[in-house]
Amino acid sequence: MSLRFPYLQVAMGRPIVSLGGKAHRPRPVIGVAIMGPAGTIPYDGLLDIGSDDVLFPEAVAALIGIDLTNAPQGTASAFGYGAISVRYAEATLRIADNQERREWRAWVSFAPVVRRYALLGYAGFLQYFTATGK
Amino acid sequence: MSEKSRPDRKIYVENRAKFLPEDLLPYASQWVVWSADGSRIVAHHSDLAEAARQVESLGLEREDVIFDHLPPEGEVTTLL
Repeated sequence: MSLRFPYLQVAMGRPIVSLGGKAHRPRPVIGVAIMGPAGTIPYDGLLDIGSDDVLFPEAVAALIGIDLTNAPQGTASAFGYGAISVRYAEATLRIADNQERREWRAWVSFAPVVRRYALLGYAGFLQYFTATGK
Repeated sequence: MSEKSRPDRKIYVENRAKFLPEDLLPYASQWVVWSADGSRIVAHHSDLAEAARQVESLGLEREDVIFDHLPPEGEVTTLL
């Protein structure tokens, strides 16, 4: 079985030159729920084959009860932010379409900056799937 | 809301596509909480915890909605 998701269609309000004048940008953004000891947050995540890890904002960790105080740390390079410090913690991720759902434990990186979407990169996410897009 | 009762993602996508950048500009730099069908913004605040509290005060569960954060410039025109 396959999980299928439509591209998020983001209205730009004007013709997009690089798309031949179309008004919407299709983005591979899917719904992903991140779960911790204090709850669940449904979020929009960008499927990003160029990202090494899964990345969420630190504020999300706090809200779902993940304590990052003594979490393993790392450095990531995020476009627009340069080098940023991230902290890692295990969380449960869940995706679902109308037919099926998948839920698993993953190491997630949390950053003090908030990007447009959560990043769903290789470690913790794409490593478990064969992703195709069109 | 269970995943089974959550609206089809296609409906969410269709409804979200109706929001123009100027519609979202008032929410720049804020956490925005979308209804599960993407048709409306049910809560917004610069602090995520406060946005979540607003959701609860509406009698909704977190799983009934989708959390989002808009950058300072509002909906970005190009992701690179």
